[in-house]
Parts: sequence; structure tokens; C-alpha cells
Amino acid sequence: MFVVWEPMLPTDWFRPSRLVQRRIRDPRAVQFWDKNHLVAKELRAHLFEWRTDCCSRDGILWDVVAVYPKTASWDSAPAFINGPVVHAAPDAAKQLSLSGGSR
Amino acid sequence: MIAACSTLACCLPLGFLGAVGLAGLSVWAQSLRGWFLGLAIALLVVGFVQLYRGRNQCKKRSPLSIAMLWIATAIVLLVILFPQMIASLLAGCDMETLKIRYVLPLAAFVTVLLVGYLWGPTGGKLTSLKEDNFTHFAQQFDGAANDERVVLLLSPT
Repeated sequence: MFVVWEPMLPTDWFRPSRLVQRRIRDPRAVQFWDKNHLVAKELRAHLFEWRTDCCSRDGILWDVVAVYPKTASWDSAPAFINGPVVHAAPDAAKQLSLSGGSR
Repeated sequence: MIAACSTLACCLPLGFLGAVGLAGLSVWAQSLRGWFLGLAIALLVVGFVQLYRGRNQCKKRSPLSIAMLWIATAIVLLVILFPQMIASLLAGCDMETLKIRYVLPLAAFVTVLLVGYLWGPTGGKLTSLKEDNFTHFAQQFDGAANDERVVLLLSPT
């Protein structure tokens, strides 16, 4: 699991604190601080189309979950992407269970 | 300021508590009553917009947030509509003692908790991504291609 924190709200002044990082309890998770939205911009570029009404601010994707199948490279589009995470998590979990795991 | 920040940090309902606090302050500091009540109303409006109209953020409309918003609204309305009643309720208390013994330590405690949680020490295994090391992210991602992978884009607050 790749967790990318990025400054989106007016209160996102600094990198996430240790306590904020601990909200992600999965030991397999790798966490990043992406101040310049590099991941969001690249991910957006990999998508063929994206709903304008969901999960972006000033064109920057955030509060989204993307699921990639085995063998998919970073340059490819995810098999599943949606947000906000709190609503999309069940569908993302379903997608993962169909594929058989997660990292 | 903390109240305003926590309202902006939409997933935390503490802004509603801030609105209640400001309404309470308006009872204490009569000369600034208008300002405090104005700020309290502004915080509530922001809270309502974020909970009920927010499209790109604050999708987490938990029952707790909704309950806190409506309780805060009720308290602020009580302070606006029945200021004398609230003042006479508080009149039996020694305001200075109450403020020093309970309100200020409680406010300081909540502030420290909030600041510590949101903007406290960083560390752990967090990697800062920059243009010159972004390829490491892609390599790490591609290196895990034997498994399904999940990418989450999140805001810290």
C-alpha cells in the first residue's frame, strides 16, 4: 500500500505528524509526503478520463484510492480508482478480493 | 484561531465546539459580544456548508459530526435569543475562579492535543517526494508488481 500525503487543505501546513501517520495501521504501507503533488499529477495523466465532480481541487487529485493489478506498472492506468476514500473503500476492497490480495 | 482551523480541517468537528466557545465568551465579554457571536455564526455556516454541501471534501458526514453541529447550533441560538437567561444562569458562579480553574486549563489542554496531533513531531518512515527522487517512487511501485497495489492520496488534516 502506497500512502501519499499531500497538502490540500488550508491547515496542511507541514508533513503529517507521527500520530497522523499512525492512522494507517497496515504494516505493509509505505508512506510519502508529496508537497508538490507529483504523484497526483502523474496519476491524473495516466487516466483516460476522470469525473470532474469528484476528488480534485484545482485539478489535483486527492482523497482517492487507486487499485493496480499484478504486473501493472506505474505508467499504466489503475484497474480501479474512486473517492472520497471513505466511500470508495468498500469497492476498492472488493476489487482487491477479486484479484486476491494487496500490497 | 484553533476553532477556525479545526473547522477548516473538515474531518474534525472541533470547529463546532469553537462556535460554542465563542458564544460562551460573548456572555462573558459583553463589549465584544457582537464579534464573538458573528465568529460563532461564521463557524457554524462553514460547518453546515462542509457537512451538507461540500463536494470535494468533508465527505465523511459522521453521525457525531452531525450531532455536534446541531447541538452547537442550538447553544449558539440560545445565547443569541436568550442572553439574559444564560447570563443569569452563569451569575451564580464566580467567573474568575471558573475561568482560571477550569476553562483556561481545558482550552490549553484541547489546544495542545489538537496541535500535537495535527502538527506534532514528524518522522517514522515518511519519505519526502521531490522531482529528483520521484523515480524512486515509481521504481518501488514497479518493484512490487508481483502483488496488487493500492495507492491512497490523502490530506494530513
